[in-house]
Amino acid sequence: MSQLLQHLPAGTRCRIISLEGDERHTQRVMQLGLVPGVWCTIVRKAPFGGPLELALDVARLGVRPTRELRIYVDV
Amino acid sequence: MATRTIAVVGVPNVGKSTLFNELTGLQQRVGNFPGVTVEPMLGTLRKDGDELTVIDLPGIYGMSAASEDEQLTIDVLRGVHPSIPRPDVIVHVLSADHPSKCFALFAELSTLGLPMVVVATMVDAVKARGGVFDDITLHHRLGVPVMPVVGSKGLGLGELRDALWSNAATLPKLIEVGIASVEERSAWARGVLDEVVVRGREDTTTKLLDRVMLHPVGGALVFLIVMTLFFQSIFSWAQPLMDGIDVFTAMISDVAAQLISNDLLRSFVVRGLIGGVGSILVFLPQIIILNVLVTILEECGYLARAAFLVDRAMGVFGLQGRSFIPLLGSFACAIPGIMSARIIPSYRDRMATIMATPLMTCSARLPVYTLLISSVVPAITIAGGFSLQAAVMVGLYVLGALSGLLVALVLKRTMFRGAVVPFMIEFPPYRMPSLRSIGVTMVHRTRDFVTTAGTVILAFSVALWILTELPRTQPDPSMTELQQQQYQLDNSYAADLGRTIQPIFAPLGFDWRITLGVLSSYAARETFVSAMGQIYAADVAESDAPLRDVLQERIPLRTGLSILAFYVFALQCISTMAIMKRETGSWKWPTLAFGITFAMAYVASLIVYNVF
Repeated sequence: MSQLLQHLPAGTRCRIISLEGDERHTQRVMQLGLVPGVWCTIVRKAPFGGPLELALDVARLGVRPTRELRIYVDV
Repeated sequence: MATRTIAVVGVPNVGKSTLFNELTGLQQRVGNFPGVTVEPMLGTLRKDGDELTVIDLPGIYGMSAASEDEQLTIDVLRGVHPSIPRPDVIVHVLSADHPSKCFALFAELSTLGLPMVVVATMVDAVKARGGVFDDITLHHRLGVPVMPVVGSKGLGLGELRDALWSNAATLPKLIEVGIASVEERSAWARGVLDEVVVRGREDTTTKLLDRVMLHPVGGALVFLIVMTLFFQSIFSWAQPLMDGIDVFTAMISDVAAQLISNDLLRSFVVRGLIGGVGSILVFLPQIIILNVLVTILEECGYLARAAFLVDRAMGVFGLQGRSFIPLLGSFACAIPGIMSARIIPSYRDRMATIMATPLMTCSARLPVYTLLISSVVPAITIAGGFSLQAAVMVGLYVLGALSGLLVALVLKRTMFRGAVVPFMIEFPPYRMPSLRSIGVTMVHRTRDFVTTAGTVILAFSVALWILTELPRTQPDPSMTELQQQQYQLDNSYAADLGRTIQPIFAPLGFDWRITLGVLSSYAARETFVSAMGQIYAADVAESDAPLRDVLQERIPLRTGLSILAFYVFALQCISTMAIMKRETGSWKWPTLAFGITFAMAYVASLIVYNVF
């Protein structure tokens, strides 16, 4: 069952299912490597609802999803 | 002789600007194209009387833009930019360490129909970890020359130059996914990656460092230490250099004063010209140190981490992590700060950040603070050893930063209302900054500062000289030199002007002399110090006891604090307003910033003057 990326705890390994929201934002995260089908790990979550640190294959990203950028993942 | 134009293009953080700096060295200038808000750097390669123009375009991830920087690159590459000509050749810089997003960009670039050369950076890093980067297979896959380059060591640069001179760039194979969706391009890129790269060991250094740097507690500590060192070095390391410049200008003044016999001419050269130039040059060490530090932090990869750490806190003020970088830069000078706001993709966030930058305490406020605090705030210690003067100084910095963030918050809630923008940033691997790149940045910033700010400040200090020294009076020769200067000033145009405008500032406790000093600061804040020097006819150098003593006598505490409050808020810098106009494309924003900050400054001074 897919759920929003930011609802998962740090340390979770998950697979990107879909990206929804404003197309400018979804296109950009895809260019950074967060493409449906790709596995990533939530390395760390900044406190108080701050951004997430994600580890992809080789790239490492900081991402803070909003209503305009919804990242659905599957554990 | 037809000049060919070569565009350096690539994904951000692949070492593109380092390569550009290594390739063209000091043969660079800021491109001066009409109507361009984002100015790309231009470099020139010369050989046997021939010329190649190299243009460093802002980094892009694909042919769709998320920020103004990126739009420029895309327009130029498509050949639709109104003033920058379409390049003849693309040099695509890609990182062998993180190549898949670079390959995805290549797929899009391949559809443009321009000859290309691929430059692979970080090949040394891949090899050092036991990996393989197969440039020959990549060459066959893409259909263009692939040249490994180690920018920081200059390896492969000669071959690249030769390739550019001999027209070795070729049209790439047309990659069909270039016009397909991001997902398809990404899948294709991963396929290429599997063919040409064998990964070595993991980059454990970056991973380990990030475990500390991005940790909520550890990261915050490192952040505080970095920021402390940052400000420490701007203010204390610069001090000896600044003192040196002061001594040097004083020496030149003395020599000029002895050489010139004509009274009026001497006054013009010593006070107008040398005094004016000296007041600019004295800030050069701080500006250079700041720019070098920002370049180092950026090149080594720390700024991206810092943006991640502060994203949540900036969110309180309606801004995002990326806004931190321009705001930090503005503590030295709002001009580079405003220019670096280009990295913020969201228009609303970018504008709100730009409007906050003039309230960050720039280094030009520092001499004003120093002079006034040392003159009016008693040199006593409070709360067990803290100097009251230092506490006031810190308080002014905090006040400025908070008020800037509040302005941003209010603007984000009103004029720039909109959905919360997501934050996304890539963490580049940590690496040693290139010394040459730092050197080139240093030379350019120095040149920009001296020419841009220098001309304005010089013009105003000449104007101020005219106002204070003309019309010439014939003071009674029996008066002391100081009294004679006083007499000259009291009968000058400046006195008339100060007295005319003074009623506006009277409620703040400013007399006509202070009013004149404040007015002269509208050219550039630091002029206040030399203006006070000229007006109070004492030594111009702020470090000199006489001026401080004169002010201590003439300015009561409440007036001094009222002036300080005014300087915390007021946007008194023509150069900043000019840059704001250029970066936002209209005079509306600098005018608004000027209005808001003037109102804040006036009200704050009024309150302070009436409370104390």
